[in-house]
Amino acid sequence: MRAHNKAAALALSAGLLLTACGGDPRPRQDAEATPHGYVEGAEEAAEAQSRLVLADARGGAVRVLDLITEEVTRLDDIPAVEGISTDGRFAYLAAGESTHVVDSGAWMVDHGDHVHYYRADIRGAGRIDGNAVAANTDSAVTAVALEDGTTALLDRPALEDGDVRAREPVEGIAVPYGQRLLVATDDGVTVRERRGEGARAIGEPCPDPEGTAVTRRGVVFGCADGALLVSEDDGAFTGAKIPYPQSVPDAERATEFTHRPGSATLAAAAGQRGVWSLDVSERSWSRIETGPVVAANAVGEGGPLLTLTADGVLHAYDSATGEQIASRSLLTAPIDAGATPVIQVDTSRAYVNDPAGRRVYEVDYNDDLRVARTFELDIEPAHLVETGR
Amino acid sequence: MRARLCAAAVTLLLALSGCSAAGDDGGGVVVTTNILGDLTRAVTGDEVPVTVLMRPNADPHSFAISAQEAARLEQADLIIHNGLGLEEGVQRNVDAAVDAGVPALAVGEEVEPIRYRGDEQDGKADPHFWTDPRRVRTAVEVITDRLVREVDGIDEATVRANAAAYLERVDEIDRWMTERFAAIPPERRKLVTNHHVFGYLAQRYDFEIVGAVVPSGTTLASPSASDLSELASTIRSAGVGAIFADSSQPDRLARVLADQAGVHVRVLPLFSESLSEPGGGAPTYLDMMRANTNTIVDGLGRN
Repeated sequence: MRAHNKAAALALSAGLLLTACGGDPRPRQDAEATPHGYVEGAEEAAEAQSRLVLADARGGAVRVLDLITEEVTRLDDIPAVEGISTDGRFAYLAAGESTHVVDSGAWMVDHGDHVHYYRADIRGAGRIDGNAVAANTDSAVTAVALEDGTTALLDRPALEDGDVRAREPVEGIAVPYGQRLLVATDDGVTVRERRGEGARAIGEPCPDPEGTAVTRRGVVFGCADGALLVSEDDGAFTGAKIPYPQSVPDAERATEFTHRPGSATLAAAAGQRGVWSLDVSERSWSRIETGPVVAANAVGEGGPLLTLTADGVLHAYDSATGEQIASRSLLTAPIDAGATPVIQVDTSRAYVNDPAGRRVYEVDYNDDLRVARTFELDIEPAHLVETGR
Repeated sequence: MRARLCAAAVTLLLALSGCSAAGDDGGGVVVTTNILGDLTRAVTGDEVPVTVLMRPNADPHSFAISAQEAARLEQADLIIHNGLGLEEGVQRNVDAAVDAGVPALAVGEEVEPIRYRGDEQDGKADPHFWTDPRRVRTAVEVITDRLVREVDGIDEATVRANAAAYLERVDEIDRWMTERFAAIPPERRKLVTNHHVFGYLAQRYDFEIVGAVVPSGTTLASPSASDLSELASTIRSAGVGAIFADSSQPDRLARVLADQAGVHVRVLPLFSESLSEPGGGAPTYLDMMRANTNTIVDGLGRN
């Protein structure tokens, strides 16, 4: 269709040319073209257009909750969702051998000195092979890390147009960064071209890589002996090792990082012992001896580290001193084994899902863990992820 | 295949006819942003077709173009773009056209851009030069020279006359803004704002930009005093009666500031990076400057 139009336009211009030499060159109208990459209904907004993507693991229901309008959008059921991740706009709902992609229609574009926020329609976007455990993107490539240790690569502009076809997956955990792809395997971290070809090794080793986080200071990979921070300056990629302060048994190493998008303070469970706080700017680990937690996240930039314990209580710790500064009983019942509440953090609020209570709590972490809003739902929100930040 | 043959035929015809590219569909001047488009059209008049890629009320950082528009870029007689990293969505299209030999003018680079200071942007040029009409004067001069040089068959006398007439209007708006801003006492010339584009205006007319973080929509849904303390103390220490913020709920923000923090302030919008549709308050560059000046004077001029 498009090729046809083009041919017609060219034929037209040839006709114009034949007749219009030295004629009357009026400014042309350019109303016919729909810009490539244009999303139907997308509009820029002054503030973050935060939304929550929620999935009921038992019933299969999927909802998107708009935190500005408080509207709930129902999407097609996805049975047996096991996990959810996001690249900031799209949510990846892993179910068995495949992953369903949901366009939350809310995203942020970071320009360094300022950011832009957008909102658009919410829609199911299709599905990809494999069971997603994490997702990261830049403007060209979206990398969806899969449970089998490979990473699916999706063309970002195509994805934004609703085309979720993935290229051949790459071995290892891949993260788009600095117009390249960082790929962590047992052999260490390499820098590759965006399509996965070529490989230049980052000098520092990272044994048994597991867990990643993208910060403004660089990409963090979890390693058996600490973290590897890979940063880019003018096209040059360097690795800096952030070793654990002491020897850490496998069961207590950080394998899954959480953080507020944009922040350089990461949280990770330290086995049954407590929670790691990794200050990427200072390149230092500290461990808060909280005991076992169900979920953890870090506000960063002087804000608290938040944990949720199995008794349904939310705790706030001073991430510098490790001291508990607030706690609030939040979830309706003690948390069942296998339930998956999480803590999501943005610049002003935290969100915690309460599957058994069929609720999501909005918590003001700067105000003694005050519950700012409670969202009553018609599903059990076993899985939650925040987008638009 | 058919398209390619046809394109070849067009190229051949162009070569044979030898007439000005200004008249054909592929040529002419292609401008990225609508603000530069307005300046360019003021200069060209009807002399040459001008295609503006960015729609009204769009975002210069992120707008993207269609395949047809990208093709038109590659056939342009001249590309006029802002540069300095502003048009990220079409940068690669502009680069491709430049690689293909199309002349291009990055206007921002010609107007002595000011540099950001502090944080991660330190030393980078600020691309938002249009908030200073004096730099727009330079921009119009540079655009005029390049049009004359690059576009075959353009009538230089007409274009230069158009430019001279438009420059008078730019000078006039500059004088008018200077006079209007003089009504604001110097100690109140503070723009408490979350806009990032008024550095040039501040430098030209002696304003201080006070950066403000506007509470998000989720915060305003159920605010506490701590959510507003930063903005409230910023406003208090600036001592202003109005802030110039992009907020989707300006009235609610003003009410919450009054209720929760005891700060009474008006929340006023400014046009920042895009012209509006006709009737939208800023359909032309001069309208945009007039509207913003009136808003600022209205906001800061009274106690």
